[in-house]
Amino acid sequence: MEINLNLVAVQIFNGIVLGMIYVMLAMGLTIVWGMMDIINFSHGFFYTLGAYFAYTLVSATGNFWLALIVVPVGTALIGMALERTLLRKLYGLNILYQILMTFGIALMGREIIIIIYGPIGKSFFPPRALEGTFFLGSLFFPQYRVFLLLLVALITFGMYLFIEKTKLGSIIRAGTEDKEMVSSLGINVSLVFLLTFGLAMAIAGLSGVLASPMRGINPFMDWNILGICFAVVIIGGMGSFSGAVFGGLIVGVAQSLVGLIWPSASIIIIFIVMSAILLIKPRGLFGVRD
Amino acid sequence: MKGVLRRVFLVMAGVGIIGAAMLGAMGAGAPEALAQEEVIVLNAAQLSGTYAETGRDQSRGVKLAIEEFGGTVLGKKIKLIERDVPNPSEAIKKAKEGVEEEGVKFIQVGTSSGVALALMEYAKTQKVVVGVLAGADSITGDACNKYTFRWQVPTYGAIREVVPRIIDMYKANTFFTITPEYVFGQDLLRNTEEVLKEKGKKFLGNVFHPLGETEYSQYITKAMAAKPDCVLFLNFGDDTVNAVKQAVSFGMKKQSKIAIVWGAGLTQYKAMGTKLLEDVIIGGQYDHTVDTPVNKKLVEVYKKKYNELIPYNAASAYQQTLVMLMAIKKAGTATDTLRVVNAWENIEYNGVTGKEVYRACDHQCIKNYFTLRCKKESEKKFEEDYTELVGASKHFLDCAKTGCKM
Repeated sequence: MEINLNLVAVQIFNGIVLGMIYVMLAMGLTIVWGMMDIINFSHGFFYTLGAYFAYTLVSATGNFWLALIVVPVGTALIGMALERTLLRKLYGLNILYQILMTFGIALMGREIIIIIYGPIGKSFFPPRALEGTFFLGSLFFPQYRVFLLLLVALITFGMYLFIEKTKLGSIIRAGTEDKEMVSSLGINVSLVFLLTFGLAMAIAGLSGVLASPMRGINPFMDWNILGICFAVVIIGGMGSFSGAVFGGLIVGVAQSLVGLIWPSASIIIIFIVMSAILLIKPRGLFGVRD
Repeated sequence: MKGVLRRVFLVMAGVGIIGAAMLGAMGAGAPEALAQEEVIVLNAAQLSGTYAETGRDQSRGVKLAIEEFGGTVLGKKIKLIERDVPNPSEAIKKAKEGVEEEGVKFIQVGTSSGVALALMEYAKTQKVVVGVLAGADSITGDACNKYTFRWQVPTYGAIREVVPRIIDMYKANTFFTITPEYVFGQDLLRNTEEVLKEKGKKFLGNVFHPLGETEYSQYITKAMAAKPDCVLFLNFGDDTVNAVKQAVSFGMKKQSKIAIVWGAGLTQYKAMGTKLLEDVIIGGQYDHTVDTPVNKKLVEVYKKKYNELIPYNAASAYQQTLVMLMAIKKAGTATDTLRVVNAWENIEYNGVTGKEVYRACDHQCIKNYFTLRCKKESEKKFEEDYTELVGASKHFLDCAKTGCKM
């Protein structure tokens, strides 16, 4: 089938939208990784949790906008509770313990979701105001995807301002480079960890809310996306906020464009891109630490 | 004294060893002995993952059939065991466990054709009777075997009922297809291309997607770029739900008609919603509105038990399980599976879709496939009143052409 420029343009748009979901998830993952040295295998679970919370809230109230505000608060609180009760006990231990713990949380969380909601997938629609499509000549852009792109761009800019311009943001930045120094300056690292983890889980939950009307919901959705998010973080550079943004967009666009010509390769291409980038830049595009 | 005690000890040790050996022998024979007092049926369903809803419905249908049969056949209790079979290797593993450890002699398997084909092969070697609830042509075609029966109309018949009606109702001349890349999807596509060619209609192209795909934008953009009169969705279950939802969000309905060739029934309609489905044509193996006495009774019983209208996967599992039990009763044995097979061949009955018969040459059930039109909100008489039956017919390859050699 002929691939024309219009098709490519629409696919680039779709790729950027898909990439925005990855950016959101990668931001949280890289902050936790960079700041707290935790490879958080439960990150995908919070994405799934956000999706299910959104489904429950939208089914009960019909209000998607409410879910955008309430769900991230919910996932943040649950995240902070887990950090305080479980993860905190593992700081300073071999990284394998953290991987096992977070992996266990993910598995347990999925089973709890299945017990409550069943193994069957759910879905809900975008809000009525965003159900249509923008047509520009022969180009077509779903309104919901345009909204998602703009909202995530705004959130990303907000995160940038938070990281660059606020005191807590500068502590997080410093912590990703040298945690011991931050601690020796008298900063309450425990509190910073708690808030950082909460923020990351809030973003993960929000990603789930935003992705659900597009992609549907099922208890195994974390498994599909977590591997891709790790690839995004590695491509962008561990602990790098800019890396998460660029990495997410590169992966999303690559996936979409390859999907045009060879759909079966749309996942493999992510790891080919990752390998290629690591060959040139072993720390990733914006890597800040070994 | 010491010598006497030694002898007593040796005798008691001997008794102990003999006793243990006898207990062991009794234990090893227990499943076989129990199996003869029970008829053990394995429900191999997809209870997790993308098709979990179909697995749940299949489970309900099988249980309902057993209940309707009174829970016994030939005076023996029917024992149902259920296993999740998400892929072919798990299916064979669970079937093996069922047969070797629990004495399973009868299996119902759905929804994936890949899973069914794998399990059929294993069951043949064990002389286990299998009722398949999946659609690939090869199940009663070149992969058929003596111990397998299938209720679903294969893709050959499904396409020949639905696609001509789509051509008439939509007045469509050009078509594009979106297809899952595995044996079932490939069969649907092959048959679609054949029918479109016969009818002199233009096939503009196809895109394949992996099973369980969540992001359909690349397939939808290709379909819309081709500007067909009609886009045919040849996928199933949650894949169809996600694909159609995303397609509508891209504005596909403003440009082309949409049709779903292999519908999954009520659960799917609920997931998509009336507004999205307005005037969409859907093909189906079954519908709760089919006007037969058996179906009306089934709908009532299911509604009473589960407080909802019966979905297709439950109805199909119910019907085939019932026929399996009828065949066992007719054969007069639950242990000689070849006699059950012979009893099942040519069994004719009034089923949920009307007169149904399993023909002997390929063990395919000859029954109707249906075309449905989705109603507008204003046309619905009640919440679950999603569809209107617009057509039904039977299309099956002649025995000589199926490729089945038993």
